[in-house]
Amino acid sequence: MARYFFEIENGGLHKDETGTECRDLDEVRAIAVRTLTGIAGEESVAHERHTIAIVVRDATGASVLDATLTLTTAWSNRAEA
Amino acid sequence: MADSHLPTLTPLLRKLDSVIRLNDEERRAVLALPHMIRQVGPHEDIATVGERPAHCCLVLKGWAHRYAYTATGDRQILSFYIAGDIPDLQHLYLPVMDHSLASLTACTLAFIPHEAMRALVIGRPGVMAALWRDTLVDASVYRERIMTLGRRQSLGRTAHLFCEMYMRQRAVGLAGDLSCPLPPTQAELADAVGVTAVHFNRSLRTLRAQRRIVLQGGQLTIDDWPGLVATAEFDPVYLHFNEDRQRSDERASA
Repeated sequence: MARYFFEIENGGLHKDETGTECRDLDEVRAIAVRTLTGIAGEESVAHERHTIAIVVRDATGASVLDATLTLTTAWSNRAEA
Repeated sequence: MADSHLPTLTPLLRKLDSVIRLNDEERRAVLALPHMIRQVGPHEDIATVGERPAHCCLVLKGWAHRYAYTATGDRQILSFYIAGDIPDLQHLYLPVMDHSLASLTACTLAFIPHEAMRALVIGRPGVMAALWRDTLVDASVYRERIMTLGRRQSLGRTAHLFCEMYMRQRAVGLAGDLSCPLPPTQAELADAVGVTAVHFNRSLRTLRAQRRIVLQGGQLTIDDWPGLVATAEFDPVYLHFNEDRQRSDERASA
């Protein structure tokens, strides 16, 4: 178990001062991916293109994982309202 | 709270009183239930899946929780229980535990033999109705949670949990003035809300930035109740507090 810090970049950077205990690096990745998809599920509906990123750091501040999710929607044929 | 002069089972009476009014004989019979007191530390299992409990577990002090794990090791906290709650009351009639029950904080628990609970309700339809109501409200809380976990976003789920835990504690005299204990850790709250701890933190930060709440040292302070209720889409009707009393009050004023 070690503590990792997940910084969220979503129109602004949110530092993580609390951190999360993770069993191993697979769990670090799983948390990063689930958090990205969870936030995207809630916040991407309002955007045609939305990018959210998470940088995970260890207790020394070194980056261990960079995860980015870009969700793009494009209309095929929609009359302008 | 300085309740040492009150009968040990007073929290149970307060809880039953929050859903139904009992007469004096019924109240005395509830307080006279035989019981065994057990102190448990934080995060100790009280009953686990597959067990056949012979006692009802009444929480006298502290918080307990029901939980279950997926095969891959993800925990879902199903519900939190506070003083006055009997989290395994349904096992009076369903012999086998279908989930696990554990303390969350250090707890004082009273174990009441099933035989005594069954004897209590014989010839006391008011108590029978109170226990029925307690179990039905538990089911109602679960329906609300299905709605919340299925359709509300992390921010709404978090706000909803805060509204509910404040209202439930207030109903049994454990909270007031928009402030209440909230001892679960952020990881535990995240497992109750069904998001990652990182996502939960983000929701908490948003509620704080919107000046809805402050959560510090296990104490929740609500700065903007109408705002929190709006974010949560919280309607306390599913908690069914004091409905009998309101009805008799309405009759009295008519």
